[in-house]
Amino acid sequence: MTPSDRTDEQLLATYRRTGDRGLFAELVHRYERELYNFLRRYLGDATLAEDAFQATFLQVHLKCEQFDEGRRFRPWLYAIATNQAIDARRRVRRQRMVSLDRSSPAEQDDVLRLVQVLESSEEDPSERIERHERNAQVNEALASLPESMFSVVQLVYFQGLKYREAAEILEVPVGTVKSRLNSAIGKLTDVWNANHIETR
Amino acid sequence: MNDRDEGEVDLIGYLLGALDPDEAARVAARIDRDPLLRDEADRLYASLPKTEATWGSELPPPGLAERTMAALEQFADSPAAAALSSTGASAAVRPLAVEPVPASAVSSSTVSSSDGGTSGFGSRSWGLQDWIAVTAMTALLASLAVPALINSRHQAQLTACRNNLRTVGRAIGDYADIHRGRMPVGEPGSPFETVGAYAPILAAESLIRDDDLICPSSSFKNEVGTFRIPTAEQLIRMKPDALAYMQRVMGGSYGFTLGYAIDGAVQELKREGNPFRVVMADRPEGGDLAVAHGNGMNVLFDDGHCAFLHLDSPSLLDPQLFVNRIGAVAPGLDQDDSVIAPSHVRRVWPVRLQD
Repeated sequence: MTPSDRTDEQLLATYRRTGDRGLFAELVHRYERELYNFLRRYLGDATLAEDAFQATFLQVHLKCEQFDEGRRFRPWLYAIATNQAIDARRRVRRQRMVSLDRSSPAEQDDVLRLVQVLESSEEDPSERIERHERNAQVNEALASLPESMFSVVQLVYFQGLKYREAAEILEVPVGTVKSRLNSAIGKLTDVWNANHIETR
Repeated sequence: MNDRDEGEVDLIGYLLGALDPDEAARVAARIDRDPLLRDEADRLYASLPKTEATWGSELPPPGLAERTMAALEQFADSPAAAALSSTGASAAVRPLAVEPVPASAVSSSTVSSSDGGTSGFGSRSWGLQDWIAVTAMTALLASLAVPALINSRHQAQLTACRNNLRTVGRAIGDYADIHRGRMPVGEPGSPFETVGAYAPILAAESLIRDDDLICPSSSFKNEVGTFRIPTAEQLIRMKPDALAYMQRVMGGSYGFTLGYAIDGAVQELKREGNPFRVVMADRPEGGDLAVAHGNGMNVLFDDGHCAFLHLDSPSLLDPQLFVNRIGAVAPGLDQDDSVIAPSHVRRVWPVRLQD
């Protein structure tokens, strides 16, 4: 059986037993795009996302002995990645406090996205700017959410995970995920609609 | 949401694809046969913020997986990985320095009594000199390995304790975000008036769990046995003796900030993101500095970062973290006077002078 034929759980179990880096590399490749996008969206910054991606798989390597057989790998991976992202966000906040005169990576990214929007040739520039502003408002509202709500929004709303999966990752009851998501969506919807009406 | 005879329909969960297949199928069937519900779903869908294409799936930077594997290899060769190896972490995935000795190599025939042959490794039995040499080597290795083992266990406990504080710090941050900056503090005169009330308050919002409050090095675990953070209902219904006991232990292995007072008036405790203000630390024991970690303690700062502070090293801290500047177990005299108190202390001014 080649590595690509094995399930995530089989790859990790065999890696744990043999230390075969080829198996670990298969896991990294398998989740390269999906997990990077999750972290990219969570952190709003490409460099931070890459750092968190690497740190996540380093943790997978270090903690693979603790992985319970019978558990699924994907929620476990997302739990590690989410914790890495939470830590990264906290570090960025602290850095912002001590270097208020420097624009943050997220802000630099925002400028870059605006430039990309303006350079894009797919639609009318004014519409694109409006759309960008609307998104910036929603993103700002998103960034202002408490971490507990922010994580749920990232996992369920953007990453498309089931309530049950998000609950497993965040180690909270499904009901808590639902209530946090409902509160967060309510706030985001208010921002979106207020801005959407203004620009129409 | 729509309350109907058949129960509540989670339209947001359905529209986001967050429901399990069975529940999603039930909601879809309800929407099919209920035009009002369909309209509601349409309205809800239209009002949901739409995710922008720029947030959609994008290609990761070229070579990300390869760089990740290179970082892993680099780590595996580093002293940090060697230190982790000595604790037994990820034992199977680190390269073996020596080939394991098969069980057959140490069978009873090999180590039977000496037949008086010459010394040396080979087919002959071991002699007295061999045993002396092995015993001496074992003693030497033990003298090297035991302190390393103790040290690695100490490090592991220190890290686990710091992770606890980090988790609680995150929970306090989340709580403050939801409650307009307020820290988890109970009302004076209620069962929640002691500093340890931070635990049931945070637990009530599913922000911490029982295990988060147990430092593995602390004597607390042995004192209380199985530790459970009480619920608000349990605290309210407790008889005075039980309540006094619970107030003494509910803060777990950690002490919590008493905040500060101005002109005798205790100020509302708010999270300010101050990287120099300590909000939690290993529980003070017996009026002395915490001894959970022998030569220092873990502390959590107001901005959520944690640090280990050696007792004998200069730090940014007030050297008397568990009393205020006039030596009282009471709120600090100003914002910079951090005071960490054990679970049962009330946030009133003043409580008592240091013994």
